[in-house]
Amino acid sequence: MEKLKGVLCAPKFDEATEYSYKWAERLREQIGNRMDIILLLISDAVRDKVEKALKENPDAMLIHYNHGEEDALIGQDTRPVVDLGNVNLLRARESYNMNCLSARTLGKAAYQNGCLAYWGYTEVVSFTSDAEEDFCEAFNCGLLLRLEGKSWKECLELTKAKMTEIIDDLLKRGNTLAAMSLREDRDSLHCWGKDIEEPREECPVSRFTVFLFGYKTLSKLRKIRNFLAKHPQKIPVGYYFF
Amino acid sequence: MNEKECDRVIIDAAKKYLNDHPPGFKLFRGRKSYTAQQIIEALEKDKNFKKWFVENVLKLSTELLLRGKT
Repeated sequence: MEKLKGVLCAPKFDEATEYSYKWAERLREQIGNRMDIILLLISDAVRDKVEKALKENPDAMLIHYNHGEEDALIGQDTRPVVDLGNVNLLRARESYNMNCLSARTLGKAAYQNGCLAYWGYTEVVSFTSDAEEDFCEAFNCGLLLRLEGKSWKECLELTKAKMTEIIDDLLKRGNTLAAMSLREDRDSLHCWGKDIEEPREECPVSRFTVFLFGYKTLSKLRKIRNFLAKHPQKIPVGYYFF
Repeated sequence: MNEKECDRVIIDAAKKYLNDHPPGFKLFRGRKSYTAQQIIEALEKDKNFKKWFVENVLKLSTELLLRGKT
């Protein structure tokens, strides 16, 4: 297998990203010299620099460790480094993501736009501080398997199996809350790629919306719902009559 | 036992479980983080958090119950 090239984007600006940054650093150590890595860390992890690095390295995998949204990967300035506006940059490359939600809409859009494989989570990622090494092992596992020459489908199956092993180990150690969080992470882990089945929307209303109007509409409706949940005073008065 | 009573059993058990967690412990969920005490408070006050927590306790329990069965 030819030596892979990667662009590692890892911001650090809050408590959660201190962990994701630490895991990105560990990933770098674990990769060693098996991959040529262009580092975009902390202040370099912004949209302009990510776009430039991807354009200059069309064969590099994008590796992103930080917060994510359904349709965006977040940078150091808390603004998207990749979203639906520049998703074409993922065409003909692989993308490995340790962030919340982005495998839902961005992953699908990337794959439909020619991304070779998009690894990520379809739900909010959760973890506990007392088991951060276990979570790190679970989150980094997929890429390390890929470097061993496995297909993304194999990486996904083996990573989920590894996560189940870690869950059992956490339960044996009495760490139920970490086990509960990792179970959810495992089930929301998805890879958009060749021969891999699409994730199924759990909610029947969401499934129906996707069937009729597509993922973009569902994503917009979810954004409106989330906004109204945070700002109930902005719900139109008419809403209460229905 | 109805659904509400079932939720109460889970929440009470969670409180017992969390009471002796060390002060440095945190649960991260996306951009939010919770100390053990904040989890206990959120279980009583935050409807969405409670729903997430109870659902995930049940999903983990169900998985363990069905382990080895196909």
